[in-house]
Amino acid sequence: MPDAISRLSAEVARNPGGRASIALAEELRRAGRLRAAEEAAQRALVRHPYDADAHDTLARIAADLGDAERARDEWEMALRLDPAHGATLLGLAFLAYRRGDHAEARRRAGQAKEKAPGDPRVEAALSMIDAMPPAADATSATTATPAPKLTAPLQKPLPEPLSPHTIFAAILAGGATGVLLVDRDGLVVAGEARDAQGADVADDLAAELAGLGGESGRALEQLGLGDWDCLTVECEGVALSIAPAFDENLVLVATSGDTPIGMARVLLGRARRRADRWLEVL
Amino acid sequence: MHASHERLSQVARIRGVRAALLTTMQDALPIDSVAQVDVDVEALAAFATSLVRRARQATEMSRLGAVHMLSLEASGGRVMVARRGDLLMIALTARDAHSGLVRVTLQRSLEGVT
Repeated sequence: MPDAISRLSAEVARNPGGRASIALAEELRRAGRLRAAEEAAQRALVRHPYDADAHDTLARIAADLGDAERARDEWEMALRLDPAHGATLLGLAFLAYRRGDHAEARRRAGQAKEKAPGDPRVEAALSMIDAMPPAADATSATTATPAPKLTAPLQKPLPEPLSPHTIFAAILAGGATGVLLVDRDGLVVAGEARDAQGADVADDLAAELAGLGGESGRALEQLGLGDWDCLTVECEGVALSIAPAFDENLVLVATSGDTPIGMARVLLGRARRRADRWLEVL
Repeated sequence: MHASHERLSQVARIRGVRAALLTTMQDALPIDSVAQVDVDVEALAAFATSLVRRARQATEMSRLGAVHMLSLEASGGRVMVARRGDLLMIALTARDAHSGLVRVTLQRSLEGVT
């Protein structure tokens, strides 16, 4: 394994834009060097933001680190990019299994089997899922008998609560150049945003955004279009996607001009879910 | 505006588009429009222009460059705006309209207005 890491490191040094960076992150994970693996995976995602394997690798690392929420985010992103990605389906099955959601675990593993019939990893996962106690479903997860051992990485404890500085780390790693959570007064609650020169523009954007959110709501009310879901502003080199969040806050995701606008919306949806969950448990 | 009505008609022909209009950042009054009878094009021009002005203010303050496209989605529909200089082409659509097609058509149609 160290040989593989050395070989892949050399390959990445020769060709930083190649896919060897994804394989390197996976080898580092297998070697148990999780922080190095995480850094390698994040660097790989900068080069390959739309590669399902890269998101799958970061999801495995997050799972190994005990960050189930981030693992789910990354696997969901991988699945959007490649709905037939077998490893991702299995990863989502593992997460469902770990929280005691038998039906979802069975469904995901069944999808994985359709994509890779005869794969021994899938068969093993299905056997373990079928051995779950009948009471262990999503609605009784808190009282269900603990799930038996499936994979070592997913048994680690959940991480410490996310901080304002780390809540959007997965979205930034997924291709966003900035993510902000802004309160109704235009003050930054969490996240970061920088301009093309790297200068911090978070406070400026937050202050202006609060007004833009209010303006959107008023315009839609006057036009009889109901509550607003999302505002996208495309500029010369950047797109800003904004959505209302829990408790009258706003979430903003900035993406570079060469990021497809559909991907910006995907990232906004993820940022909004993370912000809502974080605000609700504060 | 030369050929503006024809360009607006191209946008309005897309399924789910309820109105297409041309206005300017400066006065926010409709220059030309193709709209269903129940759409208040003057209100649409006024509110959409106000939104673009506010977005421009935000992006200029944050040194993010000039706004060239804006899309506001709501439970009851979408307002999409393409900008070229002082000119704005605006579309009001149903929620299930093909927003990718409207977006591209707005941009191309605005390029054709001289």
